[in-house]
Amino acid sequence: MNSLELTDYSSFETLDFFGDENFIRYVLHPEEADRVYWAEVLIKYPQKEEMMEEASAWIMMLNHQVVYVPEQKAEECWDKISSRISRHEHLEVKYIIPLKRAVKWLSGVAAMVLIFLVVNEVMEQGKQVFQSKYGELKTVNFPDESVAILNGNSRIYYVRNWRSDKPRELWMDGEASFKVKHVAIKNRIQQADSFKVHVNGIELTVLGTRFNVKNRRGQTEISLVEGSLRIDKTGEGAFSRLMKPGDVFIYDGHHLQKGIAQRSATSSQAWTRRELEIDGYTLKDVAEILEDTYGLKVRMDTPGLGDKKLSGTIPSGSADDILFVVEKVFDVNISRNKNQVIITPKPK
Amino acid sequence: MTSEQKAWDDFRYGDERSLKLIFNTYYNLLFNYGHKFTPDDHIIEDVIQDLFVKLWADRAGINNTESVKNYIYKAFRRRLIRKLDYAPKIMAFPVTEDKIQFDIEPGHDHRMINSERMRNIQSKLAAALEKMTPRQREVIHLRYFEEMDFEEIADVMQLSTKATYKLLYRAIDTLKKNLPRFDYLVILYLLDLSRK
Repeated sequence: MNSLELTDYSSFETLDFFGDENFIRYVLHPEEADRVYWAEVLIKYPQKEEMMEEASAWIMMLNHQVVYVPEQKAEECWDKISSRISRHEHLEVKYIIPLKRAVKWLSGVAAMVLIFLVVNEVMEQGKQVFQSKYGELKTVNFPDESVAILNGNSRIYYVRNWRSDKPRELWMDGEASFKVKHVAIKNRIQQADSFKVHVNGIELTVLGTRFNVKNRRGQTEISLVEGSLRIDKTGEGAFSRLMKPGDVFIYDGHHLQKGIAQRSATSSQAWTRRELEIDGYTLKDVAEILEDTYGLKVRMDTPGLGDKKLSGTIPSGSADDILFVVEKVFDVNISRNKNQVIITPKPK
Repeated sequence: MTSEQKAWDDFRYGDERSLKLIFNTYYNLLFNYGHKFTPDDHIIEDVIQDLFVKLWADRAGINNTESVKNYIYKAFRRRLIRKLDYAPKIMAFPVTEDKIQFDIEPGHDHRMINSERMRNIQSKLAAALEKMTPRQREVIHLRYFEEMDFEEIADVMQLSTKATYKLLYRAIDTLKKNLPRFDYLVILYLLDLSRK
């Protein structure tokens, strides 16, 4: 008996015994070894007897609590669970398996859609032309995710093929605003990464960028919003200019010159929001827009009237919107008969 | 592997009878545990039903477990508290987890009940338990009635082991302040009972 290694219980009180793991086991599930051990403790610490007995009384009381017996019998409760389980299984059969069949069937449909798309893709090879009507804005999405918005009475075309190692290249007429996706890998710019726009005999070469091109009456106005853009002309009178963001260049078919400062590069794209920023525009400029983009015929016979200038932003959703504002801000009389518009000064 | 763990494994592989075996083992115990939180049998039964239906539905994703009891208690407690926490909102009085009741009724033996002194001790223990917070009562219940160790209690109550120690220590401290010393003879009588 003396061979037992006892813990030091000299400082133990009732609550220490009450919380002691070995003691709890001894009270609740005594093994022979436990009896021997605690008998030994009692011999060594006879003054602790009362405390140990108190502690074991508490443990017993807590352990022997009355177990609540529900009215609902276990068997009845299980029956409910069991029927819910079989309903669950039933649902699985009813919906999951048909769902699996539906997936098979749908994959067949998907395959057919895919074939249709491939055929469509093949059919779309070749020359692609996009044309907007007078007063209409048209969005063109290119295969490389670049986007162009066509202003009224404008067109873009490009030749499409499978090869992608050729520069992206298109031709345009009228006015368009571009947002070109940058596909080049950083620091590895190649010929194949560039995007080319052919307009009025010149060639615009860009990397990912946003810019506006307005080509009306033989004059081309190029406005760069962001990125970089190079204007090239080959053959007679060849030149090459690099544009910075915010630059506006005008090419009249012979010479390229930097545009007037009042027309900012960003305002050149206002039309894509169906607005017209007329800062730096004369009434004649506005009349030309009405003719070029909205298909009207504008007559202004009074000398000097066309040179009137104003500033601001006007809505350009339709020709009527523009005419309405023009009448108010330029303080003129406008009479319209179908496509014929006559602008005269207001009699004083 | 215990027979209970065997049943658990069989249930996980789709044996409904094994789940029923586990259900039968724990139905009364869970009801008893749940009854400490709420006197509403319907809520407790709903939670037990939901628990076992969910166990069956999710069996493919349920892991092997060292203690089936712990797994079941933990899942049951979580569900019950969630339900009790939501239900009062419908009844319009807010109850947080800390306020959810946990009642312990000290047990008695038939032979003890004859003793006037025993009844006296019992009512004092009941009074001391009354002074505890519901969480302290719960930790006492899990420790002395369910006979769980600290790690198991921590797991079921979703506390750290340290926080569990602290909680039990506070519970014992509450006992200390509220329990008078026992009558020596009564203790002897009790010990005599427990060693049979």
